[in-house]
Order: sequence, then structure tokens, then C-alpha cells
Amino acid sequence: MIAAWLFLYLGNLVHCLAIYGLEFQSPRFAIILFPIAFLPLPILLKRHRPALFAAVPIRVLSATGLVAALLFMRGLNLDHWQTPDIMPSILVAVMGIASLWVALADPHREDGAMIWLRIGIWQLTGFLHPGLPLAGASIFAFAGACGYLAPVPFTSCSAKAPRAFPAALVLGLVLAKPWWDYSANPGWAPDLAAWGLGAALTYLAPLRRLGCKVPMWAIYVLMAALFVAYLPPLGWAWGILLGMAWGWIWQRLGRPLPFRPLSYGLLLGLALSFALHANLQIPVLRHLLWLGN
Amino acid sequence: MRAWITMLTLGAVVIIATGLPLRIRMDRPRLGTPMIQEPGTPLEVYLRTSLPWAAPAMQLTLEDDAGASFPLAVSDRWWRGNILCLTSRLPELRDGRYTLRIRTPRQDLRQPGAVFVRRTWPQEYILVQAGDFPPPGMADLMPQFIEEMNILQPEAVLGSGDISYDVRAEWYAFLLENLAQLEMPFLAAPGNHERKGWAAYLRAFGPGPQRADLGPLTVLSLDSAHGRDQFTPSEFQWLKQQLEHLEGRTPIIQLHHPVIPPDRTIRGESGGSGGALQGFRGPFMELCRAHNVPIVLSGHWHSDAIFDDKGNLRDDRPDFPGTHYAVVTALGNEVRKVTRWPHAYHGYRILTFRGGTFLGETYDLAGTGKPGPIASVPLGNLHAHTLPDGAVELRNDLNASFASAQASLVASRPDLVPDQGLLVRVIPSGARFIYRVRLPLPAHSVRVVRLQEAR
Repeated sequence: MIAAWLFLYLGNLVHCLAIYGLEFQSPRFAIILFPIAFLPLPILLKRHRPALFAAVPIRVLSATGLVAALLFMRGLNLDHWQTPDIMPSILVAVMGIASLWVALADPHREDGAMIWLRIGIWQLTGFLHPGLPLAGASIFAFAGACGYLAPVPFTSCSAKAPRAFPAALVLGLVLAKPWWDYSANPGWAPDLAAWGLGAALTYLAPLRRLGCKVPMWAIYVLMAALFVAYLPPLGWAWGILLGMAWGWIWQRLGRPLPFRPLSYGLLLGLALSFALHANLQIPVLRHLLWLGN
Repeated sequence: MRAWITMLTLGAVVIIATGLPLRIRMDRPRLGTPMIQEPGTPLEVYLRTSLPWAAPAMQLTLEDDAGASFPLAVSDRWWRGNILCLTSRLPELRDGRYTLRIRTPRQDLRQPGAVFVRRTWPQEYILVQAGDFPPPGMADLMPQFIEEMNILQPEAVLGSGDISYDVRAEWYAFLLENLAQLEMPFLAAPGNHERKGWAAYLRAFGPGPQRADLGPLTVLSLDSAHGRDQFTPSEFQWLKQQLEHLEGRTPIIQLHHPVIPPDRTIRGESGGSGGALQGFRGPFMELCRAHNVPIVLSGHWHSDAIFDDKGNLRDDRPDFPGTHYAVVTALGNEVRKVTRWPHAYHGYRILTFRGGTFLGETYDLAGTGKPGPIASVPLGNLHAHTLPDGAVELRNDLNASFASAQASLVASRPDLVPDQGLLVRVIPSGARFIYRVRLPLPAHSVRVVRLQEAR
């Protein structure tokens, strides 16, 4: 469930805000950011009030999140997200809280290849509307809270666990490139779907064995190469390779998954990626941001 | 398996629940991204549907300015998710502007200025380019611009970004109401200010980039904003593909950001402006050179400038070889002096062509009788005024002559003739008739056109 929170909710929220505009001064913007800004709060609550994360509260909350997703997408169907509007901001915040709550309630639920395939499919629905993967996060939360997504036993990789924060940060830097490239054009969706497929492929036995043998620095080199060598016509291949790199990292991470470092690392990576791609005047860097620039 | 069934069912429920009842959105053609075609050629209409691979029953029609309706028979359709493309053959209609109308059981959608029927192109003709449109507070300049365009009758008006400085729906409604009065195609490219309310821009003009084939020309309208002054790889690739498939047409490119930075020509009154294209500038200029693009049009600086393909500000002469990288002053927002070019006023560029050959883009600001360097045409020097007896006075205060300006006269009968000029069309409008008359309008002249009995 943490994967759904990270890559369907958090990732696509940043993407949507980058497309439709950020109004940092607007108090309504604070509503959208509420689940992210108060990320440590539910973590503390879980430690001191575990009853809030029992089956009944999370089912109620996830059902609320699902209804919010329905209303949010109904308002956006055939339309574009007017980010200063207050009602979509509230709905997105509710969706985020529900996704976050369920992810925290049971960090073991849903591991393995299938979650990445499902995330890939939801990223593909971004072709219909860039906000749809956000609704996917709410569906994940509802299905998880209602017990439809069973915990999958995790087979630990023999390799040393990497630090979650830098790993997520680097992924955030690279993963967002199709979003910055295509903007409101839905061409990014197949690339992100391929990324989910790539992560799922690493659960195949030969690739899993290979992933455990590849040194961590080599995975970082691969991700750095993918940061530089992004070519839209080969986006699907780029996505599969990046997905494999991330799948190998994911399998090395300790369990329970380090929730906060992953969330903050990814968020910072996405924000940094946006800032870098928005500042192409930096002399040497601009050649590294877009191949052929 | 249970998990998959649950997830797919929930996903389908969300998609269906948000998509019913079936509705559509018209993406293209529309005001800002129109189709300009000959009768008999395939007309492609791009829609978004509220559910993927499902659409309500639809009736497509074209309506002319007189309100006559012409049905469009859909001969082909293809889907990509919730993108539906309907292909129809453009009927044998007379040349002019048409509103695309689509009726479904629940919707009645109209897009004025979406389709233009054109059979032939004059030997010599003009395009107009404007950028940095009037913001709220300068709204009076917008009807003035529309009036001037309807007098000048360019083959198209190119809006090179910052068309809207306000994201409010009322302001967009005002802009669209004015732009819908243009009698020629309006081609929109977004600027940086539209990014502040991107949803509102997309609602009004649809997504870019776009290609419009205008007789011997191809106009490519690009999105250089992306929030950060650049092309991105996918857009650059799209541009390359378009330039490789010109089919003998001359390419004209418009984008909001100037391609060449002011560098050593900059002066200290730029008002924070002076920014130029960052992403893919070098490859873009190389592409323009390879495909003999005669002119690249931009705005953003609120100041006139023209550079050659070596990056030099060409304030010495208007006719130099290679691609002209032209920047136009603001149509309605504050004017600035970004480069050493000393003049600042509201205006637009008139681009002249003979066939597919680009002739020039500058105005004779000094009144020497020939085009000078850099200057655009000052706004507010062309007027149409209806006199008490119904005659129309056309007034040209510019240092430029126009071979075929248009006067629009209103009468209660359709059988009158103008006392001068060429009557091109009589359009019924309720109980009245609008006469379109073309006549030469020399520099610094006044022409009064009257309707009279036919002899």
C-alpha cells in the first residue's frame, strides 16, 4: 500500500499541480498539501493511538476516500483541474489522507510483482485524464482496507539494504521526466506504465537473482544514465529499465518499509526534478537535462 | 485473482460512474486551433468522450454566418481511449467562416470560427501576428484590434502567447467573445501567463502544439512556455516531423518566447523582461536553417526586435537573408524597451507574402515610403465608422497602403450595390443584410462607402 501512496498519490499529485499550476500564496493550496505537510502526524498517532488504525476506522476512511475520488473525477471528467477551486482541493486532501492512513495501517500489505503491475495499469489510465491515477490510489486504499489485497510474504534480498531517502530522491528526479516532457499531453502514461511493468519484471526469479548481485552503485549509475538519456520515442524501453532499477532497490529495502524517508525522498526528488527542468539556463546542466539540448 | 477482479471492478466502477451519462468535449477544430480547408477534403474532428470507447449519438453540422446549416456525414472514426476522431468530407460550401456544431441527446456544442473553407489564395496576401494581449484595465484595445483585423482582412491572425493575463472565467468569456468576431482564422500559441491558469486556457483554446496549412504556408504554433521557457523533447520531435512533411509549403513558426536573447543589445528598461528560449535553442535554429524557415514569430518582451540567424539585432535594414527571428511589441499590455530599438507602442506585425514567398514583416515607421527595420504596426490607426446615413467611413492613419480593405455596411434590402469597391458578399442577419465591400485604402486616406440602387 505504501507503493500506491507514493507512486499513485504523491507522484501524480505533484504532476497534476505542475500541469495545472501552483498558487503557493493561496490558502486553498494549503488544503491540497495538508496530507503531505502533516505526514509525521499520523505516524505519531499510530504509535500512540493504534486503535485509530484498526479495521473499522480505516474502512470508514478508505470508503470516504473512494467517494472523494468519485466526486473528484466526476468533476474533472472532460474538464481540466482548476487548482484554485476549493472543492477539488478538499477532495484531493481527503483522498490523500485515506491513502496515507491505509498505507500506514499495514505496511506489509501488498508487496510483490502484482502491486507494480497494478500501479502500471493505473498510470496508463492517466492517458484518459492525468488525475485518474490519483483516484487509483483511493481504490488501492479501499481494496486494502477491506481486505481484498492480501499481504504478500516478502522474500528478503541478500544484498545490503540501501538508504531509502537518497534512493527515493534519485527515483523522483528521474521518474518525473516524462511528466515534464509531455505536460498536459497524455503521452507520458505509457512510459509510466512501462515503469510499473519493469518493476514487476524484477520479481521473476532470474532477474531477482541478478538484482541481488548488482552492486548498489551500478543501479544508481543506471538511473543517472536514464536521467540523461531520456528519448520520447523510446519511452517504453526507458520506463522498463527505470522500473527494473527501482524494483531491485525496492527488494533490498528493509521491512517494514521506511515510510517517512521514502515519502520525503520521493517528494524532494520530484520537486528538485521540476526545479531543474524549469531552469535550463544553467550552463552545463542543461545538456544533461534533455538529451540533444 | 480475487484481488485483480476487485481492483478491475472498482476501477471500472469509478470510470463508468464518472463518465455517465455519455458526454463529449470538442477539442479540435475550434477557435484558436481551426481547420482551413478546401471543399471535398477530409475534415477531422477530435473529441474527448466521457467514457473510453463510448460516445453518444451525434449530429455534426457546419453553420455559416447567416445561420444556414450544412450537415456533415461521418465517413470514418477511430478511437484512442477517450479520444475520438471523426472524419467527414467538407461539403461544397462557399468560402468563409463556419461554426462547428455538435448535437448529442444531452449537449448542444458550438465552436464559432472553427472551420474555414478556402478554395484559392490570392497571389499577394498578409498574415497578422500579435502577442501579449490587453489585460483587464486595457480591455478597450481588444475591440479596436478586432475592428482593425476585420478591415485589413489578413488570411489569419496569429496569437503568439499571453493572450490572457487573467484566469477568471469572465475574462476568458470576454476574450472569446471578441476573438469570435474575427472573420479569419485565429491561431493560438500559449505564453507564460496562461500557465497560471492552465485549465482556463485549455478550456478556451485546447491543447497544443498545432499545425495549420494556409494555402502555400504551414503555420506551426508551438508551446514554448511549459512554465519554464523551453521546448521539451517530445515537442521538439513533433516540430521536426512537421518540418519534414511540409509538402512544398513554406513553414512559419510562432512561439511565445523570443529565440535569441537580447545580450549586448539589452537596455535597462526591460521591466524584468529579456528572457529567451532556453530548451533546444541551438537545435531549433539549426532546424530552421535546414528547412528554410523564413520567419519565427514571438512576443514576451512587449517590445519590437528582429534578429538574424547569427543572433544580431537587425536595426539596420529589413531585408537580410536567412531566418528572421522577430519579436512583436505588446498588443495591449505595458510596452517596454528591451533592446536598443528606441520605439515603444502597442501594435502588431503584418507579414506579407507572394505565393509561398515571404516578403517582409516590418512597418514604415519613419514614413519614407518603404519598410524600415524592426517596427511593427501601431495599433489604433485604422477605423471603421458608421455615419448617420448608413455609409461607412474607413480611415487609415498608417504609413502603409492596403490593396483590399473591407467595409461592412448594413441595409434592410439585399439588392443594393456599393458606390465604390467590390461587393464580395451579402449576409442575411435577422431582418437586415450585411454587405462586405472590398476597396483599396491608401496610406493616410479616408474612404466613405455608401450603398445605392443597382443601375
